[in-house]
Amino acid sequence: MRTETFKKYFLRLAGNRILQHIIFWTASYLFLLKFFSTSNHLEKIDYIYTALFHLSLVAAVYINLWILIPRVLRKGRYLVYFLCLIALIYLSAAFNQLTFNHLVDLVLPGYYFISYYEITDILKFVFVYVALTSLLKLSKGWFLLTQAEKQLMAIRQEKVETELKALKSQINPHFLFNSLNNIYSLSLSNSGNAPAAILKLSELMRYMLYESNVERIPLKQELRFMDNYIELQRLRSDKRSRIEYSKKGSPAGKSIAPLLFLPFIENAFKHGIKGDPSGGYVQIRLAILKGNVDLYVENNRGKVDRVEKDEFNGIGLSNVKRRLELIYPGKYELDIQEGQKNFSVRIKLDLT
Amino acid sequence: MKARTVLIIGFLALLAASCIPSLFPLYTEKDLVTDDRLTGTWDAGDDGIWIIERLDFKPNTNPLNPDWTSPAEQKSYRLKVMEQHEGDTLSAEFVMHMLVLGGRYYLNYFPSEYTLDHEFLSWFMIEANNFSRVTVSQDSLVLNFFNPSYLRTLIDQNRIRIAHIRHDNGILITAPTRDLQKFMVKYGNEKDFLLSPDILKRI
Repeated sequence: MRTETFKKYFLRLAGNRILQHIIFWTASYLFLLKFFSTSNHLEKIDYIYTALFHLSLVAAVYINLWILIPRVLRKGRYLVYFLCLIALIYLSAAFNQLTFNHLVDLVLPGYYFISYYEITDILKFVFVYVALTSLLKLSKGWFLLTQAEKQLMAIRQEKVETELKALKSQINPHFLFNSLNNIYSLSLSNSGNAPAAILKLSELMRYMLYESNVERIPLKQELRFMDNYIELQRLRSDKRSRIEYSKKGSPAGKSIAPLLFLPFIENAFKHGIKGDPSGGYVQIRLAILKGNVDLYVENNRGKVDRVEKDEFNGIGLSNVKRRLELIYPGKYELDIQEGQKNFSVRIKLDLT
Repeated sequence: MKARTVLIIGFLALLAASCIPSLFPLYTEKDLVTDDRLTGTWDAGDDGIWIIERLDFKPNTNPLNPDWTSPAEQKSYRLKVMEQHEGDTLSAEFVMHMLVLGGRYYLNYFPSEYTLDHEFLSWFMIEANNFSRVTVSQDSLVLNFFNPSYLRTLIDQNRIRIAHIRHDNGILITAPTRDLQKFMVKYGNEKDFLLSPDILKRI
């Protein structure tokens, strides 16, 4: 607890900009004080000299940090910045010499200083300070930029997740309405399959409500869901309808975004079998090979389908396309063929 | 090592008492000048007789390795100071250089021949430079030595930043020639730094 409090306190202090500058200049003062000392023990005159020496360094550093970097460098005027920086370093070194050759006699009469360093030496001092502080400033800027990018990524991710949830929440009622319509059809015809259909629907709803609320789900589980769904559709379909469903390959060790294939299968049954109950067909082939899963769904175009407006159909397909873009960008192929008599969808996913 | 006899009288006493010795000379080669009016014999009053002549060789002023056989150097002088002390004539010799800094002329003194009566003691003597401002005319030599007490006060009061070390007998300036010259150029004309002039007459 105490460690956490100390850590928080330390981080707050470390983030204090004024404190950072104070620490930097204090360290600089102590370092140069030792560097400049002419004997083993420090004299008052050494403290004064080191403070005076810092005047030109402080001026150069802050002119660079507060004026040149934000107004010239950040605007991409690199050549101008470079020239200004050279001028600044030279002027600062000249100011250092002016300080000790003239200003100090006015400011501190009775004290005797000379400029102990040649202009070339002072240029090196100023260059090191300007370069060091520029690097600190730019690295801090880079750090902030990275943080901002991370935040932006997090916001985007959050947005994507929100969007996905919204899309899934549209899928679920869509499926529910269709399934209830199917069971309604069975009950109207007094079919003995109605109780089994309700049971299948119950299992499907459990999957959708409690198990599919994850980013990825084992492919095996998703296929079992598909099996149940197709079985449910078989129960309510006319005996004359042709439903072909085949699977190849092992789903073991693979995962997939849940409920991704459902809209295609759902639409195949709705617009194929339902559109032409006497001679409709749905063909579903699923192949799993290495890291890919390949789903092919084909159905006839029912007579009713061509005359009825179905707003849910539009929502289902556009939702799944959007989900594919969000979850598998650049890792999916979607081919939709709409012929006069049939409708087919091929979707190939890279699950790696 | 040859035997030396300590001479702390007259000019030597003046140097010892009125100057703060410097480990490094005030000049570099490019600062040296000559003036033929310097040579000759000068009456220094209580400080004895000064005999100044041009050296025809370049003295080596390295105290650890004296070498008087260097090739000819035209910008060095030999200063011989002779004083009467209790009926005896005592003398000391210095290598002297004249230099100009910031338009002002200076003399740099470095002991070359003096005697110490204790050989072992002589091993521990540090030979050091001293300087004075100089104004030369045909018949007189005006010397302004620097005020050691004022310099000592400045050092004691932490009002001057010049490299030095303290020892039992006082202060030895250890600042490099470059810093010495800068001080001379900047403060060499300040009244507080200068003693009243010593005027030597040509004999």
